Amino acid sequence: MRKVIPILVAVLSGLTVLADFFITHPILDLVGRTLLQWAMIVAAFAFVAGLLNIFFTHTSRVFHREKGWGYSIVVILAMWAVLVFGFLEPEGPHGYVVSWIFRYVQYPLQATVMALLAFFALSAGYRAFRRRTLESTIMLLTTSLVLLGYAAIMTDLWPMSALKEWILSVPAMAGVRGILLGVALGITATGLRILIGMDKPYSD
Amino acid sequence: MIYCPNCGTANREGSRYCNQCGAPLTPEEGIKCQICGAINSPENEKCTNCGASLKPAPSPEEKPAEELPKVPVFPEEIILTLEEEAPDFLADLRAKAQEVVLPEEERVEEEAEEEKEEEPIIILEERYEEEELPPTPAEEKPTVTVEYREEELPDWLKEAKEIVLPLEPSPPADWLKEVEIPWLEEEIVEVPALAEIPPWLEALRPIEEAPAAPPPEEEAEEKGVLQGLKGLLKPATIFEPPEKIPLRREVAELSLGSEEIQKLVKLKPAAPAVKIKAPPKEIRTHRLIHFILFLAVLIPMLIGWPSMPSGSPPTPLGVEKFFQTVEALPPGSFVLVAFDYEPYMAGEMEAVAYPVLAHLKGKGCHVALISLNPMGPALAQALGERVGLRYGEEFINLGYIPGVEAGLRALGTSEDWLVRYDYLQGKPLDSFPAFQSIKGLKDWNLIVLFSGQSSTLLGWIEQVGSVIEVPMVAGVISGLKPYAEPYLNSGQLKGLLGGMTDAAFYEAVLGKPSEATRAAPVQAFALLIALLVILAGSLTRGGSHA
Amino acid sequence: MLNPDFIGQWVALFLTLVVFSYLIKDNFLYRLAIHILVGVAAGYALLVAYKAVLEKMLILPLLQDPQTNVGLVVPLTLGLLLLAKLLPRMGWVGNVSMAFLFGVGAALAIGGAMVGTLWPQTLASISSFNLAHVGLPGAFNNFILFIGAISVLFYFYFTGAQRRKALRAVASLGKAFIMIAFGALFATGLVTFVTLLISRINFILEVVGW
Repeated sequence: MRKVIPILVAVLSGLTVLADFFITHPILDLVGRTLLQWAMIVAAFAFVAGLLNIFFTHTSRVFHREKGWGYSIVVILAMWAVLVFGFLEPEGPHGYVVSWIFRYVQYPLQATVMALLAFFALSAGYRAFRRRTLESTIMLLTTSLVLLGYAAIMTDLWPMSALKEWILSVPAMAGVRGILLGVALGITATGLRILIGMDKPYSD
Repeated sequence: MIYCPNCGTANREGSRYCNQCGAPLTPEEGIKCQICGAINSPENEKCTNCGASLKPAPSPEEKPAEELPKVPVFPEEIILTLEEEAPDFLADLRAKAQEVVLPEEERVEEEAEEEKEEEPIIILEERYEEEELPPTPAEEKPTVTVEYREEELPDWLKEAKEIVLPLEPSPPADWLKEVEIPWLEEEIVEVPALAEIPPWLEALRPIEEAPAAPPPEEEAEEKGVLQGLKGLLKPATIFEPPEKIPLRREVAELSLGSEEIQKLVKLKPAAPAVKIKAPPKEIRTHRLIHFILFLAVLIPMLIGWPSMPSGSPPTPLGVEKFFQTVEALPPGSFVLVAFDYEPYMAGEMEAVAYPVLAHLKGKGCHVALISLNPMGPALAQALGERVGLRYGEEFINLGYIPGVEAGLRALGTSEDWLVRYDYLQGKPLDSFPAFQSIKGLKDWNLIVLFSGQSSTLLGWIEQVGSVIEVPMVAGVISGLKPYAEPYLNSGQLKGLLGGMTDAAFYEAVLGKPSEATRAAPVQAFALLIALLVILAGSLTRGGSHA
Repeated sequence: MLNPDFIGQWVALFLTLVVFSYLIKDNFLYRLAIHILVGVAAGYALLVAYKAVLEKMLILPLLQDPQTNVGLVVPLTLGLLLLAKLLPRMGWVGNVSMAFLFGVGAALAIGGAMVGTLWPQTLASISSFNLAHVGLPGAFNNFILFIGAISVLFYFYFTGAQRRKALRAVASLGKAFIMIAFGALFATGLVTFVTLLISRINFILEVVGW
């Protein structure tokens, strides 16, 4: 029973929503819409569960004095600061204190962390094309022409910019289209496996 | 090994039936051969394994074997023993052995019968009857008979008339009268059972270990539940350092053996595990690359932002289509703008979104901001205020929609407009005069996607774009531009802004240069330096680190 | 001077420089900043998820009009069961909720992939080669698009030891197109990161007053 009920729930709810994609019927539409709205709410609970898990993980680290438990205290305090002010203020997330924390703490930290990747991406590019194979040569040639096209905006070498646009909109796009088609076929196969109960990622 | 009493085949120890003939190997009634230990049938007189006689040993009334001179097993030993005890006798015997007589059977038997009556004669042979004879070669082998008179016999041999060796299988009667000299015969000699163990056999005796010292007397438990009991295990310590087992060295020595083999294999001691670290030269190179990139971005900004060169490069097709789509909107149109990026990508996305919002403001559109991630509403609100849109009149914030695909599908298929409250004030949508006519998704004139992730971009195109006829345009980060191009080509997107460079083109077409136009030359210079670094790296040698 | 925004600017500048200090060496301040980011981001997301979704779409409708919204008891129950996943021994209770999410998600993924990508993109691959309609450049581009998409699919599905040389040749062509796509993705990704770096250095210079 413990194993059968989740499978039944997954198969029935999934087949109903999938049927709603292709069949137009008032009752099916109503049931499908209801399931979707329920899924939105349950997805929000899943999001909340993931965030609470972060909290519990760091709390456990502090209680057991594991390595780096001092940093875990910082995480817990930061989380509580946002939550306390968020619930105290009537506007909630766009209250004054929470907005200040978002704008002057979270935003610069997140933006700068991503900006660091520019340095590491360039270092990776420096090492990536050392091996002389046909594949790496093609990739290096494409990368060079595209970067040259972006750089050419400062010069009179307009053909380079046009060449960059052509590469991105024709051969590169052909490759990406093939990848998208292949991924879509794979998603269809994987989804069907879940809908017929062959794959059970939700069970233990 | 067990030998079959029927056919003599050797069988494995513990076998119950012969592998060859199937006869039982351990008959219930049988005679065990004293020489080899084989079990023989009761009716056998001779052992089927070794040929020894199975007759029982002589009675204890006869002279015990210990008092008789021990006759060694092998001819060499016999010779030696006889030489030690009766060297003269043996010398005479050898001399007369040269007088070889090859009698026929009948003659021997007649002579034996004749001489039996007269005086004891030592016959240096023992003849078997034909049916008793063990298998012998076909050709008849010469036998030697040496006759002696009694007066020639040494004293010990006269006394040995009555000698009966403790041979169980041997016929004692013949032995009393005859002395066998095994080396003159080529027939099987009966071997005494209780023979002296030869030195070579003695050397194989297992060394008896010194008797183990008796274990110390176990003390009884003095207290507790187990009081009075002996032989209990002592409590084990929780932490016992494991014995150091130099496995590697032992295995190496065992497997390779001698020093010569080790030299051949050229074994080296196992290197201690070290952390894999990039060599200092590699680290210096990467620090130099980082410094070069930092300077490539900083210097153009410090010396003054360079301006775009004269002459306009060709506008990318996606930018042109985007512009045309927005430009074609009638005044007062409802535009749903999705802010699906997080602060991670805000550095580029704000440069892309700013000119578009400015264009929409210029067109007099009613803009509703919506987001698929929790940070989106705050970013959207900040940008809307920066562009100068008036809240409640020119734009409202519809907040966060959970579930990505589920939320989008619900948004696209709902007959009524799904989001009924605004995000900032929590008021119903009807309370905003500018947005009162919004009843469903079909009431929107354009959907603008600002996406930093492929999942949200594809989610909007697949879940909403396939359901409704509302045109869709997208502004994405540069890295997503190749992913969005197929959808521009297929017509699912009516326009595409791919990154800050395309935003600079958009501003140029719009005629309102802003942040993107200012940053584009800096970006171009930095990318040129990055290209040179990558090309330099491709020309260097050396394997890449794992 | 005590303007919160002014203080905020300098706090943001300090935090930006602390994160950039990682390029020199991993240090205590950097780790502190990253852990502050984790806590603040998690707290903010939790706040928005509760306020914008759970409160507006679930709790308030149930409290204000329970009879009309009685059906919301189902997602409320499923959501609470899902929270049981956080408990060590009661994790199995949340399997029903997970199954519901996976079932609906799989159906949406299949439907979206088929209707939103497979069908339109396949149609778009078969563009006109007619010179009169699209001209020579257009026909050439459409031909490359067609060959590229087909050969990439050949590469995905006919990789490995193939007897027929024609199959291997087409799959190799597909690999070449994939390499072009990867080269373009790498270049444009680098463009994005450089743009983000420009944005941060611009912010530093603005606060400093350059």
